[in-house]
Amino acid sequence: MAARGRRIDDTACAEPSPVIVEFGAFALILALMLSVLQTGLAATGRWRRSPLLAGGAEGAAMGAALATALAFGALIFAFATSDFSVANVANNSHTDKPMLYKVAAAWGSHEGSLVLWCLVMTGFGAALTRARGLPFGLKASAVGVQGGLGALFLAFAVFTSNPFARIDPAPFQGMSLNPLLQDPALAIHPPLLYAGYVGFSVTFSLAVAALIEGKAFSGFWPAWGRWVRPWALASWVFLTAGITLGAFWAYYELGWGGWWFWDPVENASFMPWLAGTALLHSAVVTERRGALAGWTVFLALLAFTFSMLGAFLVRSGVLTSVHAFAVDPERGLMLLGILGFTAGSAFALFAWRAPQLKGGGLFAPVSREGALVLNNLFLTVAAVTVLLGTLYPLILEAATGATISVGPPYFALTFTPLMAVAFLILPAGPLLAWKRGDLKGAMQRLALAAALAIACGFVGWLAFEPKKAFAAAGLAVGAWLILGALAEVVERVRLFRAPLAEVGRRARGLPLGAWGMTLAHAGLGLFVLGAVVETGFKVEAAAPLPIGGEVHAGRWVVTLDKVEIVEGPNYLAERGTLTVASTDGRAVPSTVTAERRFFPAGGQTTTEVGLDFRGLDDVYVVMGERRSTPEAAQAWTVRVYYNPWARLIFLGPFVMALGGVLSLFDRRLRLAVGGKRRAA
Amino acid sequence: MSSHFSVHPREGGDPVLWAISGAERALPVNPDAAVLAKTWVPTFAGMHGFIVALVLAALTLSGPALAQEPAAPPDRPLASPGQEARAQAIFEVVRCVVCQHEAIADSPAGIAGDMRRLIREEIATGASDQAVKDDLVRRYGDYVLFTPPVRTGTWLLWFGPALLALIGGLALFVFARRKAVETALLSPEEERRLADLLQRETVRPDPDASAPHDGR
Repeated sequence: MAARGRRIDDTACAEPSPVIVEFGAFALILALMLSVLQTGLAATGRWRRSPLLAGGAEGAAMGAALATALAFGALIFAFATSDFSVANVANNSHTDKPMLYKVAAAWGSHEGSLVLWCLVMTGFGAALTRARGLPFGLKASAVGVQGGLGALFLAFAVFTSNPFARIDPAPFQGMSLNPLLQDPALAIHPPLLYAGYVGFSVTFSLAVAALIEGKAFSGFWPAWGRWVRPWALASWVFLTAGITLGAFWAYYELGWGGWWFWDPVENASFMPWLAGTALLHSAVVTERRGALAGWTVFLALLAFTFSMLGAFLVRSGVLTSVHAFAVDPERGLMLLGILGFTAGSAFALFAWRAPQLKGGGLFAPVSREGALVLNNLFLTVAAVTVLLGTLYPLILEAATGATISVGPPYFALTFTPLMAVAFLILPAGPLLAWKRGDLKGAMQRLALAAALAIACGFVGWLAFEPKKAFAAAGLAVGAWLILGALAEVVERVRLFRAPLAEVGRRARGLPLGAWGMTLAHAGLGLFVLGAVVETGFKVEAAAPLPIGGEVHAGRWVVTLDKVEIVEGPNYLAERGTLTVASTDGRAVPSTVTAERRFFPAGGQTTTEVGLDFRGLDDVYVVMGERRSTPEAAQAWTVRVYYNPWARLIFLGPFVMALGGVLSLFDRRLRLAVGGKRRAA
Repeated sequence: MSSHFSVHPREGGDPVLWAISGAERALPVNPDAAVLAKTWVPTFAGMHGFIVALVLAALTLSGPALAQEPAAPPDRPLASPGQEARAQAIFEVVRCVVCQHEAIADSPAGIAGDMRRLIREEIATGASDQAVKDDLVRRYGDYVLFTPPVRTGTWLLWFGPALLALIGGLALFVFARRKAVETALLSPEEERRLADLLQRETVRPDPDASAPHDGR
């Protein structure tokens, strides 16, 4: 291999250290033992009502987090120093890789990412011990359950997926990381995603603890809702950011112009998000009104169950995907065991205890509570739809041997209409009062927003070619979400109805949570606008281009100026330089480069998309293979996508996550999570 | 083109080797093109990656840099824009049978190119969209379409979501009705007591129930 002969000794950092690797392996085992201890101490402490033992459990939780962090640090060290005596490093790294991707490779493999998973879990467990205001029993139970979850996954890592396993003799060179994963967005995508997935383990633990403790005192459920909300919100923010980043990565790295394909693994991350979103909303009802307690507990269990299901799907080999790790039936079986045990026992406990959960405050169907219940109905059905679409082919094949594919057309017919109806109702929810709402009043306050949204749809219908009724309706829905969110703020600050000073006072008086909600709902609207316009009006063109040749896509014309061979740190590339100009000559022409990279270490070829940002639009250029055409001896297949409003697809969810962050800083939520930031 | 050609990623173990053999079995494509195409499919399987790398190295690095690659025949759009648009729409919903979860519209795999050519040929000869899809299903099985068929085995898949929404909605409706009965109007005696209490202001009106915006 060409790469073999290249400089091996250019690692700018320290030499591999066998001591640190052994120390990491030891730390991981220590973390497992501490997690077991955490559960044991918490359980005995809870049973004997001993603050000393419960305090010991909290100490063990801290220790487990620290030990896992040390293990993870040792793993990163092994990757940074390219210690190929560690099998995991040899299989997933290479001396030629830039340092960022050496480090990121630490969570690029099954074993490494599992350590990251455990780190997030024990880290959240340590943060949980710092949560203030939890009653003794609930806290001890939750810490115990969290420790049990940590122990299960750490045991899985230690016994089936040891990231520090050695190979002898150590190979001279590593096999490198999949080049598709060598990308800055993908270096931080897994940590964010895992923070989201695993963050729901805390809501899971709090839910199990609440079921164990039962209704400890009057006013328990509103308090429990307040304790659980910040954790759900933080996990949701991480998951939203992680999924968005993943979609953006797929968009510019995979080079097919799309950003979501209902791939089973995409679905695996989307299911916990849907359940988590439902949880956020129902927890509000539980906190404010003490109602829906059982349902909120159910969703808290469901969110993490979906997270574990996702881990199983990705790691067991039942799915093949860009994201899937190496196939190993034994690991899959063990993960299925963990999933079955934790979810099974939690839901059994739920079935036993749920009938004893007393309903909280009563409310009329038309009320804030009623709207949130409807939200939960839609989100839950949506999550089940995604679940069906993901698992059905697997189950059908196992049962009958028939193979089917479930892809975008299925979800367009099931998921999309469901969400469309939900979005139509959404803006009315925040305008309804608790207990008994005034639907007519809410409609009146939204009338202007509705009229403007319909106008937007009509303008969109006129403006975009070709004319598409569905896309125009989608535009109206997106505008409706944004305008509806604004209408709610306008209503709350009495804009146009009160003197400006009064409006300013009211705006300052609005809690951060209210602004967060507005931002999140408006962000959803932005996303809908982007998704509708991009899907409805994207233009794709491809042509073999000689130097100087041009291809048209929509109102853009792309010219291939030159092609050169460039050498990257660990790849060779054909880099095309292209000029993007508008056919009417009104836009300023700009230059983009697109590459086709060949990685000798793994023998893979990837594309680096050339992205020309045009306001909200993208002109997306992909360099293809070199070939000869009858007209020219040398030509390159150049694919061009004109993706109108594509920016909003990624901006929208980002705004949603920002809304979540804003809500996290709301005074009422901050109270419950006072010590969290210190610990995490 | 064997009739029992039902490919599935799990069938043959390693995706790379499987894909190559799958492509060769499926259609008379240039094997080199198939090998090259599979370099798009990421794999963690190091050993086979290595073999593919050797093949690739022999193919592409024979010169000083990236040399001429034997490529699949390029896509030639149909002359009629209407027919081409129909073909493109079909490409979006047809699965590339050697890929992981990709439509042939997006896949650079050699076999996807062959499938695109096949579909264009059929459309050019005047076949309807349904006829083209039926033909694909005949060749590759239901697996080839991203729209699963509606039949006994997939009723739950297709109608499950609507059914669940219906059951959920019905449950909410019944629940709301029952709640309404439970919270029915107060008896005259209770009304009188409430009015009495309110008169003496020993009961504060519920702040939650008053304003639509309670500032929280």
